[in-house]
Amino acid sequence: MSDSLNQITQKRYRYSKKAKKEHKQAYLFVAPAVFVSAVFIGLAVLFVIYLSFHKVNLFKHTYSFLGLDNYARAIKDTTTRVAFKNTLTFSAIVVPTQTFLALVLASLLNSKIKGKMIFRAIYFLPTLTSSSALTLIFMFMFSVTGPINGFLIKMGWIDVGINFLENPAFALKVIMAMNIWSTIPFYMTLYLASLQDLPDSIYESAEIDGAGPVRKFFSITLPYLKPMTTYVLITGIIGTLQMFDQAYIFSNGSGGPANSTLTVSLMVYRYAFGTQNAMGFAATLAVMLAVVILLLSILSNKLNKSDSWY
Amino acid sequence: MMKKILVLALAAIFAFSLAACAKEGKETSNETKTEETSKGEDTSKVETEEPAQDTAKTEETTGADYAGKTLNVGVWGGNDAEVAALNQVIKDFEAKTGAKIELKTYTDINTQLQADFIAGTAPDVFYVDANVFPFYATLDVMLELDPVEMNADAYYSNLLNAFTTEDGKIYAIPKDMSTLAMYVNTGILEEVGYTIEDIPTSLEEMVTFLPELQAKLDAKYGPQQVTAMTYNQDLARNLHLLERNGASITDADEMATLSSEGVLKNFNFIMELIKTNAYKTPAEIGLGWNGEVFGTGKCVIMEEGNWVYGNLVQNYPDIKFEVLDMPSYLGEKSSMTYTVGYAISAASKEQDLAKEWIKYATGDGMVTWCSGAGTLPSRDDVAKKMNVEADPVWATHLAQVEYAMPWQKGTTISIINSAYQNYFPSIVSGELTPEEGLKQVDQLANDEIANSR
Amino acid sequence: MNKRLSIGKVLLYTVLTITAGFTLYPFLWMISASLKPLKEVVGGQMSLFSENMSFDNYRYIFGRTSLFPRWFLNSLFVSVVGTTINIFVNTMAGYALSRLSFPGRNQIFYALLALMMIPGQVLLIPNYLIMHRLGMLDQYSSLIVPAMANIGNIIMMRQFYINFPKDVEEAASIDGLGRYGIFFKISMPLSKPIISTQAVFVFMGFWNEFTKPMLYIKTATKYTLTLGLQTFSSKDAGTMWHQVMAAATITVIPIIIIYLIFNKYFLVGVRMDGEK
Repeated sequence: MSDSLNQITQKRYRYSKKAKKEHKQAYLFVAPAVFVSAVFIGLAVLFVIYLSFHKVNLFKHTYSFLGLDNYARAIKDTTTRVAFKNTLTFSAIVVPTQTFLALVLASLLNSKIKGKMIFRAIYFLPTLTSSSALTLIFMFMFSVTGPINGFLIKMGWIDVGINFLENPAFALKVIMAMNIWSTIPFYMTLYLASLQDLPDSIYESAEIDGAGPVRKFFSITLPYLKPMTTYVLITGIIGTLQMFDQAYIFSNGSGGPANSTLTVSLMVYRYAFGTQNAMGFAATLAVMLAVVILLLSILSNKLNKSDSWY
Repeated sequence: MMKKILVLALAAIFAFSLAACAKEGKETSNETKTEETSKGEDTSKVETEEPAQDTAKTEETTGADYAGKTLNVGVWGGNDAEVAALNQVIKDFEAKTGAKIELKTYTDINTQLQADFIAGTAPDVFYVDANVFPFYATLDVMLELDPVEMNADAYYSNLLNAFTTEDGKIYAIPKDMSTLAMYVNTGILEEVGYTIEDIPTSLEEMVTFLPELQAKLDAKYGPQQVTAMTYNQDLARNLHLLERNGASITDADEMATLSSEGVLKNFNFIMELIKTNAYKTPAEIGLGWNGEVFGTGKCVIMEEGNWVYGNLVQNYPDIKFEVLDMPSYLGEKSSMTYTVGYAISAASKEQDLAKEWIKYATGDGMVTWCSGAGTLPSRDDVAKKMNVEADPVWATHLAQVEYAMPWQKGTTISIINSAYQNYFPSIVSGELTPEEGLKQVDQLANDEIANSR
Repeated sequence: MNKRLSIGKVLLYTVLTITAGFTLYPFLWMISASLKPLKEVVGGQMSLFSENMSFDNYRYIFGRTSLFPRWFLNSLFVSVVGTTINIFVNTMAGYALSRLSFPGRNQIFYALLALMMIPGQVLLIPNYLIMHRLGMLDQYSSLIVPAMANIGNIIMMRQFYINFPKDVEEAASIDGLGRYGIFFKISMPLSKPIISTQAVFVFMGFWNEFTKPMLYIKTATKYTLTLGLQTFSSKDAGTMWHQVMAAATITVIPIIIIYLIFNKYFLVGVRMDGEK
């Protein structure tokens, strides 16, 4: 009798006591993060979305509602198109490259080779240096009389130094190289940490079945790392699509040469802190970029279905 | 074990830092308290104003007028000499008036000051570059200044005009200036058989002189090792040439008109210089700016501002050089001048003290500042006091102010300059003709301006 | 068979070594430039050594201001406190988002993700206004509190915990450990590799952070190290590259130390063949 009573009462509540306890723990655990994010990022983001529909003069506190005007203008604007094109190209090349190379390096460094610690330490160095210091270093290295040109000339591959920084065909590519160089170590380290929990026994049994290193990589390592790859892809997409520092330092804020290093974030900065009170338009571009990032992240997530391993 | 020690050490450091900053917090809150109480009893100023008298003398303020008051001054960072000079001016001012100066050093004044204006946290007095002055003027964030009270007549008129709006209102006082002059490396010059008198005085003559010089340089040092002359792809340097003969790079609406006939003509002349292949940018040589190229002996002639003088003397002492007037163009001499002024925040609560600061820093204090920091004074009487003419380099720079154009052109100039820098390399490389290139510049700039309006 | 293995290995080592060379060169160049006078840095030479190397640049930086040790301590304080708080906040949130089921879980995850997507440049002024209203300007709290949680790292922890073995936790709960006990006594300690990684990178983020201190901190004695070092350069007279490189080197050293400290935790596995 009491049993069936219990069953009835359990069916009435949507969650069991045990589940509710879990809910409580969960809310407690996410509370600080959610609170801080809501106050310090959420509010600002809402304000930005609000601004994107207005013509604003923040100094005089005037806001005039424009509806979708800013958006219409942004879509029609040729410079905006160029900026998006640059930004998407940048991301399309950098993200797959850095993800793949990080995977490969991590699995190489995880295998039985000598000098693992030293290699890991060396590969970690680029991430330790601040991005502005790195940009300056790279600008020096790629300058007309810098080491890279020096090397190319010595090898006889070119006669005169190439002005990488002022050549529209090269400028963005230099930034790509620099970005890949400096973020691979970060992702590689994450993959390495993840790989620690993959028991050697799985590899050993695969070897017994006759699998070579390449097969092991694609059938064991890669799938195991899928959840971490989701993280690497999403943060890679977000990071590359929001690239600002390097473009700014390289082109002295102009986005040149010939708009080749103009990224959307650089455009946002120019409008936000320019001399024409264009914060509304800057907000519009920012929201548009966020939407693009969102779509690409969803896409990459679908392509990398990963939320469970077992 | 190691970890435990580390943790203990770190904990000790926190405790120490926490204690230190708690003390800091207490001190600053004490200061603001005294500031508020003394505000209530604002004693009237004891200045004896005699505007008709010798304008280099500042008004008599006794040493305790502003005791207990704090003035926030916003400046940007500088090298050793500049910081030392500014600190000396501050010390002298504090002794004279009894007030206290709190410096806010901006790293990126453009971003930070805008944030300050919006939030209302701007300092009482701050640096304004003539270049951004028109923009700030549209924001109503600066206090209007009375020309009589601030001895406006004492300053060089073209500088003061840079800080005057179209309706004749003055919002800032120039604190110093720099001009462009022509630097010549006499050491290299003599090595290839020229004397300083051989340097042409007009740009038109340069078109023929530079290739000749370059040929001799190539013969002596190897091809492309030393360049005859450097230039910059920057409106801040080219503007005085581009606007010759009544041409203007903007129209009445402040939109870009670089592809207009007059400007195009002047720009084509600059292209002639570039085509000699003896006229290059520092980036093409692989360095950051003219000073580095000149200092490492990789060019013979450069047009630079007086800020490079101290740098050369200190960092590149083995370069022998002389400074000449800027070469003329189309029969007229011209140069650029860069000036920074002090403006008072419209929301400042210490307006009188702020005015005292400006009057001092651009009066007696200017001698200390300019001689220490290595800039030129913005008023003639101080120039005489400093005996600027004694050093030929300074004398030349000073002489340029007569025909120098202040670097300023409405509120859209930074957008236009950015577009200009964006496409210049493509014009030089031949990808775009000058006309196409300048049209692109106009379009890029005007799109940006239109989107912002 | 043996021959094939060794050729493969030789190739492997060659590739790794060349890559290491490329990785190391810019870094070494930075250090060598910090030891040279301006003339030589600017000259654009490839070589890492020269006759005129000295510690002059470092002497200049240390001597330029008496605030240097203060700035260092400020950065250390902010970074250590910020990192410690972050570790707990991020790990707890990531764990909850992947391991616990509760209503609103997916919505919170996607909302946090979406917040990351707005480019930071437009958020500068709104954040400045928020700080101003909260009275946090010119306080260390402005550098720590808003950065208490790092959404990127929350996601990283979430992804990590997806793969995390459940059996260890289940065993612990059978042994009578409550929910919180399981997390703090079992899960977190066993996540040492990922948490160490997180610690190093979060520390680095705080240490290298430049824009926030620039906007929020006004008093020179409260500057962080990266900010303080920036105030040296003069607006017109060109960048003092040799000093910039020296400043960059100084900034990197503490991070290297942190890395060396946490290094040994990076690679400890969860499964240790029967050990628990």
